[in-house]
Amino acid sequence: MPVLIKEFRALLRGSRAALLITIYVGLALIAMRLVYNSVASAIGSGPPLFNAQIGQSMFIGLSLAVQTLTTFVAPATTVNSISSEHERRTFELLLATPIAATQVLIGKLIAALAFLGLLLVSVFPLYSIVVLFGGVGFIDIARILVTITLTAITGCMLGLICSIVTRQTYSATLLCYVLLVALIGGTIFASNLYSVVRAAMPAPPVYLATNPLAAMASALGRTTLPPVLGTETIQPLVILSLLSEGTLAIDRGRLVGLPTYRVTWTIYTGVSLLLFWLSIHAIQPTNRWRLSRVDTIMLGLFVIYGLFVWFSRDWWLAGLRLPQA
Amino acid sequence: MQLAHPASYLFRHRRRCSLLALVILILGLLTFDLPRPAQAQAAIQMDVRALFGGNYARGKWLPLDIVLRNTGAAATIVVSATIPGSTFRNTLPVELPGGAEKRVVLYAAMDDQTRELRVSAEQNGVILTEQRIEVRPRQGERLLALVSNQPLRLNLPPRETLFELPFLPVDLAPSEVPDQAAGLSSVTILLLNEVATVDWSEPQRRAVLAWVFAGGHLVLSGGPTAARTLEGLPPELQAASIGPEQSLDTTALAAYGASPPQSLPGQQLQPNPDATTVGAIQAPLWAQRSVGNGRVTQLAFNPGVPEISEWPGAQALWNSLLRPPLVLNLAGGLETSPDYAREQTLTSALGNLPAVNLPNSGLLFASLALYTILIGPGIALLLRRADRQTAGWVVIPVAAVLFGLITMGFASASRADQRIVTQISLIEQIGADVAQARTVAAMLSPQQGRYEVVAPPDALVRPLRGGSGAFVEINPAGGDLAQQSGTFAMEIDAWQAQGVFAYQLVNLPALDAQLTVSEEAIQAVVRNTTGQDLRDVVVVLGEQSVRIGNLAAGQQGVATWPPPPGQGAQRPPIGTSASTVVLGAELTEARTPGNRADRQLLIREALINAATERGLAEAESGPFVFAWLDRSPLALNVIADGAATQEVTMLVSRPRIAGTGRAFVPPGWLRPNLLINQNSPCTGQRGRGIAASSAPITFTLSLPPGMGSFRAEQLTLFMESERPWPNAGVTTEVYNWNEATWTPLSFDGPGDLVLANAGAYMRAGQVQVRLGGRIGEANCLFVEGQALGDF
Repeated sequence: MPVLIKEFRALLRGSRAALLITIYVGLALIAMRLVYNSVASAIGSGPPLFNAQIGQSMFIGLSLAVQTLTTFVAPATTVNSISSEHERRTFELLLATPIAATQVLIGKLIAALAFLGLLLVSVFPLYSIVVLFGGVGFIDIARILVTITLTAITGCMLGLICSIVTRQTYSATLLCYVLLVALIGGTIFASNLYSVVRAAMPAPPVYLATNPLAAMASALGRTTLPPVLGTETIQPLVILSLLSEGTLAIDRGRLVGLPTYRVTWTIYTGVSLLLFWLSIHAIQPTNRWRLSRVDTIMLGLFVIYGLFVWFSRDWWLAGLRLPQA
Repeated sequence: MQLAHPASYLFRHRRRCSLLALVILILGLLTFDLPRPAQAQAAIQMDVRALFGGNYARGKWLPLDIVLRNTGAAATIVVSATIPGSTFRNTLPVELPGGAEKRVVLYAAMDDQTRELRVSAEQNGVILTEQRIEVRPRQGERLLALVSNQPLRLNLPPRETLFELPFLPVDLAPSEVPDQAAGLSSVTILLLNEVATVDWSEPQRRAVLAWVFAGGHLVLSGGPTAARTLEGLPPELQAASIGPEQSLDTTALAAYGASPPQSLPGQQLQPNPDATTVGAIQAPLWAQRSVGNGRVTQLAFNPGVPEISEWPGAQALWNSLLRPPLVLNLAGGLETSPDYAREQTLTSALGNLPAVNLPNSGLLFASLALYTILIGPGIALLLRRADRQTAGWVVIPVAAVLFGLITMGFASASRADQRIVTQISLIEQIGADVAQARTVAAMLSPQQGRYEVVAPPDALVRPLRGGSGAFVEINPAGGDLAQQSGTFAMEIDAWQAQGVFAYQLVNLPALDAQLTVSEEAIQAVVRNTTGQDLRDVVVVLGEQSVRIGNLAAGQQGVATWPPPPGQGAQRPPIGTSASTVVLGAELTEARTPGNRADRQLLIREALINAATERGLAEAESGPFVFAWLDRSPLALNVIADGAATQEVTMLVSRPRIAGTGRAFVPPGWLRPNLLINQNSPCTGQRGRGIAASSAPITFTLSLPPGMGSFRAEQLTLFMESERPWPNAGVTTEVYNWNEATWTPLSFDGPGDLVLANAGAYMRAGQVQVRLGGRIGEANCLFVEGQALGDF
């Protein structure tokens, strides 16, 4: 708790947090405006557009912008949390207090997640533009909210483990973002390459199962249009095709996104638990791999997670299966 | 405290209790479903008879002759015709005074296959009487309506002897001729024999004119009373004037496989300039003229006389003469009118929906931009001044949520109407003051609903046949489609583009348009006499057009016809569609990569196509005047305030072609008419041509309608081919109308075939050419001509 209070005070001190919030919200707003301009400029030509389609396009634009920002901002909130203590040589001092290393870790993590929560809540009013045009249901919003939240947690955990392992902010940042770029760019490149060399055949969805942008594209792809159009006119989903090669499929003549985001949710949950467990051990100054009571709790969490994965396998494996013809 | 006895309470408050009892009684009476008087149900008697013996063509109208008798009190009833299983009804409100008998005609919109119609009379939703009528669909048949005061039997070929288009003769009393052209839509041929057309009402005359324009074949019988038949008909429906009685030269009847009758009593026909004739020049057997997509055949003899009915060649004669002017082989069967194809084109164009009403998002974007500043530096500065930066953990989320709720509430309240109403009207001038109007209208709504539509009372409305639109699927609407009412109800499902088709003959002063041909130039003159402003007026003939521009009511516009392109100049391929000729530049630009066609432009393209197309047959080449109206004379006003609406209306008119003295008819005006000789079209590098798969091939080149009085002195025919023209063994002949013989010519094709002294080769603006020998090797012939002569 003392670490948490200290972090809460430190995070909002100075202008950095205010600036970050403005940049975060501002970039999302700019993305929305650009999407609106491009859609509204075509209102009188080409396939007819309905307000619901415009709303969905803006929902996609905003959600993708928020997911991209979250993907890169989340590790940044934790990437210096432990390394900076090492660099300032305050980590040993902290450990000299009655505060345990695990408490330090949890305090840092909760503070980072709280700040990310602050950013996400700040973006909330922007969704009023989507409400203005309609076309998006509560379930669609819930789906992207879960995706963003899990991405944020996993990103925080990634930043944290990099910070703990390297003990240097520079190295931690480098390592963290190399891993991130490799994960995002590498999987998209691999899936598109698969498609290119196989005469435009979509890559198996597993290629993009760990990609946060593809997960968002997949989650957005489940947003359905009103059943107005006998022919597929504007499917906002098509906008996502570059990010979601392999997670798009034709189902009964209609372009749909596979629920690959369920696989991503499952993987991110497991990865977050694993990274958290590794962080707990890696942060210890001595006897790092000695088992403790925390490991029992973690074991319990892993068992619960394993049971969830097993019993919900039909639900999340649906994201890896192509629809039956 | 002592309690009052209930009886004493009632006594003391008896006025209040009486009032309460009265209110309860009134409410009870209002909510109680009173039984309807039994005698009202028994008072209405109804006799229904379907015209044409209940035979109808696919998707056409069937008139129902209904006699209603009311032996009870005066009542307003609704007569309805329903196809079992359909979602719409054709209804007609009828005022029936007590003891009255009334005869009404209800037009039933038919489908493709029904064999039963339910006709009912109802009052306030209660069916008073109902009748089931047997009907029969007839597709690809010649429904021949014989309108005669005297019994008339033609010696028609039996059904089993014909390969296609069998005859189905039905009798129609002269007074039963429908007063709506739609009522005749199932009829292929209308034969008038000894009919006093002067007794017809003006709507009946107009209906027949519009029906012929749409592709009907009107046959006017000759005989002693032929003048009476002719007397009341519009001039457009007269192919010849009637001269004295005389015995007709029957030599031309030898073409029908039997020796012609020795004598045939008849009248001398003096054909109009546009009419072609068969038989002796001085006294032809019949005269024919084209009217729109239809034809008028005027006989010089009575077809019921024994000389014809007992003649062995009669069946071959009628099979040949009574052909529909237009036979389209469509997927659903043979069609004799382009109306079906036109409706499909218009329906498809409905898919070019208008832009939705966008909600005003500017204010919301501006407030969100302000919020972006406030939520970051704004709150941070305030908290720093108060030295309460940690409070940001509460203030920022609370501010964001509050602002979010306010903006979302505002957004919910400002949502735009998602409903869309679109309608497209094609107004086709067919007479001096009459035009046929076709309107297709569709509505799309997020909610299921029933919408009131205000329409002209005389309009006949039926559901659209449906089909794939340009971008969305268009489906038929349901509901009670009332006739002679002024309003009807249209039922729409959620998120379905559904609509109706309306047809009406409207009063519209004819556009005064003329192409004046002289030796030096051709002038297009258009005077706007319609009483409405016209936009983007353009005159089109073949592959050329001239723009007149906008014309206010009463204004006149003049333009010179473009000269023929010189040597090597690019000219559109033969058969280029009128829409490409008029909108080519805009369409080409819209189809370049990176551009998308404006939907209004696509609707205009579809309207021009609909005005000129004839299904699978070659499109009409004109001349046409196309103009755009701001308001349709057949507007369907869907009562849906706030909905995004779109209305596009095109007026199409056919200008006169006139000239005085010497005149030069430029290339492209004398062009093949594939319908006359039933030629097959082909397409090649130079555009549309005549398929020359077998020899000999006979084809006719026609001048535009209205140039029948042009006397050619010199004709030049330009003949090219897709494959090399055989350098030997091709015979070329031109028909000599004066001598009724083929004149052989020496022609070293391909190239120009010049005919000096060409007067004998052109009759009523038509030149017939016959190519034989090895011409089949040329595969596809591209032919057109120019002429020098006099009007």
